[in-house]
Parts: sequence; C-alpha cells; structure tokens
Amino acid sequence: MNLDKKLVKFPINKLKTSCLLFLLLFSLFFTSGCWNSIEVNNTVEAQGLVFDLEGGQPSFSVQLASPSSTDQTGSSTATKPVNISQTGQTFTEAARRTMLSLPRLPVWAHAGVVIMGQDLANQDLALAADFLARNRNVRKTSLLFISKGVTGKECLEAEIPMESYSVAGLKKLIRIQEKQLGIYKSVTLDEFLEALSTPGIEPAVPQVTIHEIEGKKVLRLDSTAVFKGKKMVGSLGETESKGYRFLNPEMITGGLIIVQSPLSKEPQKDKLISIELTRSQATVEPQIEGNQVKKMMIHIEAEGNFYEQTFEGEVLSREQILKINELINERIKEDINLSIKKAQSLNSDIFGWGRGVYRSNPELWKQLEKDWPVIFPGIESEITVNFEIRRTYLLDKSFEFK
Amino acid sequence: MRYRKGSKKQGLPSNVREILAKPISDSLQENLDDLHLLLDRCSDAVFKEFTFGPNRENRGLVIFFDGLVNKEQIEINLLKSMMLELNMRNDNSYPWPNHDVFNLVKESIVSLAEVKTIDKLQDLCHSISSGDTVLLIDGYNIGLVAGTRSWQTRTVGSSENEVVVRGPREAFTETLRFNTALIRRRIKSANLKMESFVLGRITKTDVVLCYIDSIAPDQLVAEVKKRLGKIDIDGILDTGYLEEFLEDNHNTIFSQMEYTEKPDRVCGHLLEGQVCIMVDGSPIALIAPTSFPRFWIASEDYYERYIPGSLFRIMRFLAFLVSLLLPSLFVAAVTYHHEMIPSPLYLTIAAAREIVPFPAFVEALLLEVTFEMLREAGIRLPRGIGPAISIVGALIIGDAAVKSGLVSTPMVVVVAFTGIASFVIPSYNAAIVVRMARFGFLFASGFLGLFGIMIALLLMLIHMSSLNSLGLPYLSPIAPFNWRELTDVFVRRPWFKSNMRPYMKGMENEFRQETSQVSDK
Repeated sequence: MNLDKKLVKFPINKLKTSCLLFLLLFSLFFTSGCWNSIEVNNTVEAQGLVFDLEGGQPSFSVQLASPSSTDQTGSSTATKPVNISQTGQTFTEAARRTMLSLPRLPVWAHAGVVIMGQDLANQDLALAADFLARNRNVRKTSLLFISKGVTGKECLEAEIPMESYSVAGLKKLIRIQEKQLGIYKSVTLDEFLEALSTPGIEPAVPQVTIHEIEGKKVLRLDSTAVFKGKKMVGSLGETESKGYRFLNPEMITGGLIIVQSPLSKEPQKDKLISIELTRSQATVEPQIEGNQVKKMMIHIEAEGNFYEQTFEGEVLSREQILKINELINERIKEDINLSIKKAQSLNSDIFGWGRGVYRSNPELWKQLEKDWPVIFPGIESEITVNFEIRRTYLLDKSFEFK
Repeated sequence: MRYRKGSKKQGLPSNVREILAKPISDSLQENLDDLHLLLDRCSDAVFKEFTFGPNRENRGLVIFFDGLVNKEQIEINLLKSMMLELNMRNDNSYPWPNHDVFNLVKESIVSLAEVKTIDKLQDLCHSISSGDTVLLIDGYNIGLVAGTRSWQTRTVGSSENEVVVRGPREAFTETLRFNTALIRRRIKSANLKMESFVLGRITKTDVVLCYIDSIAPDQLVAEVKKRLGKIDIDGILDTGYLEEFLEDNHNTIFSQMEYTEKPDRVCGHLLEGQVCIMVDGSPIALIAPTSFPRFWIASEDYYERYIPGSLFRIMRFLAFLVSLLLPSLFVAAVTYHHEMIPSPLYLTIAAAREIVPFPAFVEALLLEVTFEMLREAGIRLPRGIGPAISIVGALIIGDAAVKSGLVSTPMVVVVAFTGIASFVIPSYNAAIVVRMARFGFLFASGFLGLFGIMIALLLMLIHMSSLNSLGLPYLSPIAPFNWRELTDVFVRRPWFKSNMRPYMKGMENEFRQETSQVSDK
C-alpha cells in the first residue's frame, strides 16, 4: 500500500522539481547578476586620461564626453568636454575619488590618449607604471604623451582647433603630423611599458605643450621626452626627433626632407629642395669584436619624391638627381648623428642598441649588461644611407621661365 | 444545449459499419436501400435510376456526388449512350445478349477513358467521393466506376510565396492531378515514379510519393513508404500533417524537410535524389531529406549565372547570421562590452539612449516582440485593412516610440535591419527557425553577454549536429564534411562543373553529365 503511494507520487515530484528548476533558471534572467553588466545610461565615455603629480600627491584627471541629454536626434554630439580631476594617495584612489562628483562610471576603454604630467615623469615612473600596466580598463593601444612645461591637467583645458575633445584630437594630430611632416613618432602605452621593462632599451615619448594663439590656449607637439630607468632625463628637439624616427626598427612612411640644391655654390645657401619621404627602413646591427661592441652598423634604405625647388635652374637631370640623392643621404646621416649624440649625452639607450646586442650575442650581453651605461655613450656608429628619388609629380623637368 | 459527457461514440454506428463491409449485391433494390441508408442526409448525392436495353428490361443506377463530376460527360457518354443510342440501334447487327450485359456496357457502350470495376460498397463510397461516377446494373454484383472527376479548381497560376525574377513561375494548385502533371511535364521519363497512397480514415486523402527510380536511393524510398504506411489519422488536409509524422526528431525548432509550391524546384530536388510528397488539396510539396545549410539555397540561384548566384548565396548566409545574432550582439556590446564599440559610435548610442528608461535587453525584447506581432498581423490581415497596419506600425514604431523616449533610435535600426535580413532567407520554415532562435540568443546575451551568445551558439550547433533528416545528417556538407557538396552550398557551383550528383542523396546514379565538357572546347 505504502509502496503504491510512493509510485503514484513520483511523477508529481518530478514535475515539481522540473517546474522549480525552470522557475529558478527563469528568474536568473531578471537578476542580471553578472557583475560587469552596466547600462550605457550609467556610463560616460572617457576621451583621455591624465596622470599628474600635484604637490607630491598622485593626481588623476579625465576628460569626459557628455552625451547630449535633451536632443534625441543623436547627431549633436559635439558638446563641451567635462574635465574632472582629483588627488589621492595612490592613482587608484585618485581615480575613484572622481566618483565624489561624478554619478556615472567613466568607460576608460574609449580613452585613446594618455597624458603623463612632466612632474611625474621627472620624479618617479614607478608611481604609475604598475597601475597603467595592470589596470584592465586602460587601453594599451592608447597613445602616450608627456606634458612639457605644463601639468597634464592643464593640457585638458587647452584646445585643439576643429576638435571638440582636445585630447582625442591629439591622437589624430600626431598621426597626420607623422605622414605630412615626419618629426615625432607616436608611442602607444604598450610600447612604452615594454621599453620600460625590457633591458637594453629606453622609452622616448612625444611631448605636448601649450602655446597661445590670439588669447586661446592651444595644444601643440613639442620635442620628444627621453627616459632613463624610472625617470625622464631630457628631451630631443625637432631635428633630433627626426633622426630618432629614422632609426625606428619599423618601416616609416611620410615625412619631409629639405636640402640644399647641388647647384648652389658654397657661400649662398638659399637654393632649397623639398623632398617627400615615402618610405624608409633602418637596419641596425652591432659589430662585435671579441668581448666588445666595436660599433653599430646602421643602414637606411629610403626613397622619396621630388616635391619642390625654390630657385630657377634644371636640377632634374640624371647627374643632378644623383647629386641630390647624395645630399639627402648626408642630410639623413646628420639628423641621425645628432640624435645619437644627444642620446649618448643623456646616456639613454632609446634606440635599443643594448637589445640589439642581446639579440645578436646573448652571452656577451650578459657580461655587458651591468656596464652598459658606461659603454653606451662611447659606442661609435657607422651610418650608410641609400636614398633614391622615385617620382617628380606633375613636372618631369624643373619649371622654366621664358 | 450541452453535449453530454461520457457517451462517447465508438466510431460509426454498427449498421453503417455492417453495410460498408458488405459486397455489392446482385439485387439493385438491395444496393439502393443500403446506399440510401449510407448516404442518408447527404443532399449532394445524386441517384439516377433508369432502364435500358432493347425492351427496356434492364435496370441501371448511376450514383455520383453533385459538384465533383462533369455532368455533361455523364449525360452524353454514359446515360445517353445507354438509354438512347442503344434503343435506336435496334437492329440485328447489334446483338443484345441475354447474359453478360455488364461487360458489353463496360466495353462498348460507356465511352469514357477511365473505367474499372469494384465489388464492395466501401470502394463505391470512396469512388463517388473522389468524383467518379458508379454505375450499378441489376443482376450484377459488381459496379462500374467511370472517371468523371471534374470540379471547380484554381487554375495553375504563378507562385505567390516563392517569387522569382528569372525562372519558371508556375505553381502547384490544390488539385493533385494537376500537380503531378506539372512534374511529369518537366521530367519526361518512365523512371519518374508517382506512388499513390490513400491516407486519412475519414478524409481518404490521395497522397503521392514522387521520386526518380534510378536516382533516389532505394532505402530512402522504402523508409518513406514504411513511414507513410504507418500513419493512422482521421484526416490529412495539408502536407504539414505528413511532415510531423515523417520527421525523425519532433522536439526541435528545426524543420527537417523543405517545402515548395514550385514544380521546377521539386524537379531539381528529384534530380538530386530526393523524394517529394504531395497531398491532394494542398499546393505545397514536401521534399525530403534535406539539411540545414540547404535552406539558404533558392531555386533562382541555379537559373542565374553562377557568379551572381554565388554572391547571392554568400549574401544570404550573411543575412542569416545578421538576423540570428545582430540584436543579441548589440545588447551584449551595450550592456557588457562597452569597449568593443568604436568611440564615436558609443557617443551616439549613449546620446540616443539617454532618456530611454529600460535596460537595453528589455528594450530589444520589446521591439522584437512588437516586430513579430506586426509581421504576424500583416500575414493574417484581411486585404482591406492591410495598409492601415503598415501605417500604424511605421508611425508607432518608427517615430512615436522614439520620440516618446520608450526606445532608442539605434535599437530601432538594429531591429529593422534584423527584420530585413530575416526576409532574405528564402525558405519560410528556416526563417521561422531563425526567428525563434533569435529570442534564445537575446536572452543569452542579456544574461551573460558575449559569453552567453557563444554558449547558446555552441548548444545550438551541438543540437543541430544531433539531428538528421531521413538519415541525412542535418549539418550535412559541413559536418560530416564533404568538399564536393560544399561547393554547391555556400557558393553555386557552375553547371559545367557539376558532374556528380550530391554525395549522400543521389548516390545510386552518381554522374549527372558527361565529365569536363567545357575544357574540351
């Protein structure tokens, strides 16, 4: 009798269980319990992050893009940026203290630019490096800049023409500059952190400063910061930055080179030629003799187009072009030499020569690593450049006056 | 009035069952009595008694259902020839036998093409219900069935649901004979078999199993026949009834058979070794076996040149992915993976969502459900108020909902795009699958983001790979992988390279054309 009852009851229990299970699973949908679920309405897009040192305390500033709240057309996104800044004992605290005045979570992943204050760079990168490398919200492909002569926070207040968010504009700025002018090379946060933590190479980061035009504060790229160990030790000027860019192991494209015309006699120096660099590839190899790095063999393979001449006279003949090529070779060599000299005087291996030695002879590098700061300033370099003019655009001869 | 419970009728009343089991009797009067009892309260049944013979001593009875027969044919070819011509030709050249009047009538008097004899009252009933006319002659225990079927039908028109730009436009109608003729007209081969079945206890519906004998695998035909034979149901009104009986897996959202209303498409499938099942009264032909990747093949791909045909297929595959995943991807990105959206787009979405009170998941669900309702309403609407719903739908969803801040514009765009993409899928039953699965993905993404989508995708693939359609694995050219067939699923293989039939379906007769006929040129 008892047994029968149980047998009858069993399917009902099963039904109950499955119903409960279903309800349980169904209720999960409404909990939206996933910890990183956050609605767009509760977030705000960060355009740029700034790490500063303010009176010895870590200071964090962020530029926020406020979505227009009234207009539903979705088109008028060009509103004024909101800058928020806080200090704290650590950068994490400083960043979270912005929540004292901000009701939304900034989405850092959209920040394409990170600016590091000059003070911080001069004092001790260890304050921020771990934070930058560890924090999963900081996008490692964002571009890094160091402020020059101003704090990073002040950079947020300055403007960039045509752009509603000044820091986001920096990203476009440096890329177009690289193609058109070819002075500064953009550095991502990832590259910076890698250079910081790799032996035999030091980071060099473009700097940004503020200058005034008609009473407006405008951001502008100015020189390249050179680091050594945990500190910034100096900077490269425009020509040195150009040379530094030539020595980049990646292929570079775009840039401008100006040389004297081969027609100009020695005292007169006003016959100029502009050349557009289309591509340039550097190979750097250490020449090792015994237990010493004798010199660095640098070879540049480059080509470009004839762009402009500022005088009358035929320079596009076969012989003249060869001469121009030679002049450009010299010019590139000069730029590179300048940057090498500067780096050696600052004793900062921004070209990664140490890493080059390690790659060609790891055993030797083990011996040299300790003494590298002593060895590096004394290393000689032999530069060979092979530049060729490819095209001359709309005219194949020089402009003729009749 | 209430129907009383508990007085369940056990089928037909006993006297009717008895009569149905009876053979046709010698006596015309007895038959007449039985038939009157059987066809009691059937106002459309016509009984015509008459006498014939030289001395008008033979009695005959003609029975048919009004409306199903060609009355003119009965009058001229049956009644007139028996009643008048026989009497007029009252000369010796035409001997009137005293015995075997029935055979004489069958062989030389009834001038109709289709005649056969029956000897059971059950068969008699079936014949007249099918539109044939039965002639009973006093003194003979057999009846003569004359094929006089003719009823009001829709003529063969152009296809309404499967529209093509290039290719045949004819579509099946509700009359089975027209449909088989449409196929026979395209495949003029004795190997084209049309096996007939009668299914449905009450409806006695004609069902035709159609295949090409030398191409369709024997096991497949045998299996379909076996499954058809097992069906016991009171009525079959559409091929959809059969699909549920024939399919291997019932508890799944995936349909395992294709259907079409176009005879050219049926012929294409028959030539690939598939079988086709048609039901009298339904313009839809079932095609089996099939596999999921074939659902985004349209018949027009084969009529168009192979390059555009291939591009259409790739586009359809993309549309399939879009209509399956787009809303859930959007919800996942907006709720969990903010960093995946490009920054300017993020700003736009944020601005549009600013005053929307719902979470993105609820917003998407709301819009999707609304869209499905609109679509369903659009199908069932009487013609006259069709435009009204589109105006209401467009106004409410497109404009007012956004303006009132209930939903955001990006979400409307996503749902609208999804809707358009789902119309790109050529098979309606595959589109239904996608519509259903889309909601599952939406729940998964609202719950777990991209992880949820991946989990749901994996579960769906596992489930799909466990299905099969009459022995053909459901993901067939992909898993189990078959390169040869794959070249005619994601892209359209050019005809001059299609030397072989599909691997698993047309194995009996592998080569469909002379090999490499183009390279010879």
